[in-house]
Amino acid sequence: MFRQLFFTIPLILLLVGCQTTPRHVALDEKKASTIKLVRVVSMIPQDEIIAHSKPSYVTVALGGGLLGAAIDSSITESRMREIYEVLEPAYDSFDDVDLRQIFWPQLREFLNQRARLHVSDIKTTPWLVTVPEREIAMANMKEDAYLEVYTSYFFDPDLRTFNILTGTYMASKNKEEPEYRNSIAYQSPIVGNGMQHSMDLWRANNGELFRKAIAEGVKETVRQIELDLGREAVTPSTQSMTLTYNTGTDLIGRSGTVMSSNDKRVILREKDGTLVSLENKPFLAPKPAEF
Amino acid sequence: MNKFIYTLLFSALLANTAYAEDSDKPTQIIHEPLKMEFERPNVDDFEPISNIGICKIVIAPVVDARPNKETLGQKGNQPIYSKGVDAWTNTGMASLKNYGYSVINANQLDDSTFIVEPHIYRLYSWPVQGFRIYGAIAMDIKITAPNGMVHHKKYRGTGSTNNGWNGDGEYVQAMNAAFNILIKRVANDIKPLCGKNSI
Repeated sequence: MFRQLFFTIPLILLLVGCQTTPRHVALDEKKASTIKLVRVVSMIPQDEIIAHSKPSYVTVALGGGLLGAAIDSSITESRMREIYEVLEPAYDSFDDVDLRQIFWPQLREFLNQRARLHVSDIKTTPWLVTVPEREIAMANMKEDAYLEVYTSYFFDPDLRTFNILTGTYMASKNKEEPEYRNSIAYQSPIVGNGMQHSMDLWRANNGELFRKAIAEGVKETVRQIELDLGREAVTPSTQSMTLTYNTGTDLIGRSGTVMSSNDKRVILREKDGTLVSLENKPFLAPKPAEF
Repeated sequence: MNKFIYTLLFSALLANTAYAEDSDKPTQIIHEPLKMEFERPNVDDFEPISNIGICKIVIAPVVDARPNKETLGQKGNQPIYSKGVDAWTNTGMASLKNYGYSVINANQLDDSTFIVEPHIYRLYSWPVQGFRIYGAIAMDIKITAPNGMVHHKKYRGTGSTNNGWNGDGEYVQAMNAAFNILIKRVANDIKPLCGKNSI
């Protein structure tokens, strides 16, 4: 078994690395007109919010090897312990919040009432559908196409921002190449100065800020799916913006064409076609140091 | 090319999932759940609580109040199928005896016994950065003192282990690490209650 993995995993990584799969494939009118009926599967494997840790790259820097992996493991554990010492006591304030119960009704409402495609069946599941399961479902379905919506959510490593990430994938029966695919992101406004200070704010008043962010995040995520698959055509403005995005360690700018905006939020379509919803807060690049 | 990659991915990474038929186009997939076996923490991490005297507790069977009873998180690109959680949690809770408590059966209950009623509402595991595997557990626990007073609190544990092979055992190990942290917190909380013989 281990020997098989030893040979197979590097080969897979090599092959996957060689693949040039675009993150965004637009569903054009010609393709949409050939699809009469779609089966939808929405997967949310997480039972609750988790926190991401800042990545550790010692293995990469050392060019691989067990020593690098051991160091990375130790660094990751130390960072996660620091994060979870702050996050664990805060769960009491918001562990009744269930993203599935908020997201699925809104997704259903959009798909049944405002989507360009006719949907036959919307399956919601905590299971992560595997590739063979998808193949079986597609081979046996009566619909013309199969749409997967995969959603995850997390706090960034500094606990200042809450994120929802959604991947969409749609393929026609008997076709391997996607008819539509995209990566959709939501990031909350930045809360506090990081770690304990931020978590104190997230959990205050029975998790009021967290509850607001998750409600806003779901609304913005469904809105972004609608920008791709909605019945009403959306003409993007010609305006471009660069907005502030928290990586969990740094603030960077994310740029794109404005698809939708108000005084609080902006949805950008980035150069590669992916969508991101951010606080309406222009990114101010740090000034270079003066000598 | 895609089909080739999917086949390789399937054969290498989906070790818990087996085709019902040995054919190119599967028609059904059999899912094998994780084998949940409770393990005590390492001896170094395990410190019996001192000076608790004779403290008798009865532990009610754990109520499974998880909103999602189908999965225990995800293992890379596949779900972890849930089974055997009841037995695992009951064995784990009974390990309170390792901290010096006298865990007795319900039929031995008398007027000096504390009753512990655990409800599990979260249990999952997930890999982090490919280097470690994490487990998380949360329980709502009611402790009733012999005088009828009630101590009610939510408990959590988050634990981890090295990710060597992304193996099933490592996911169970991470959840065991989390559970042992939770049990230790419960054990620490019962001590002052026992000392007073009331809450």
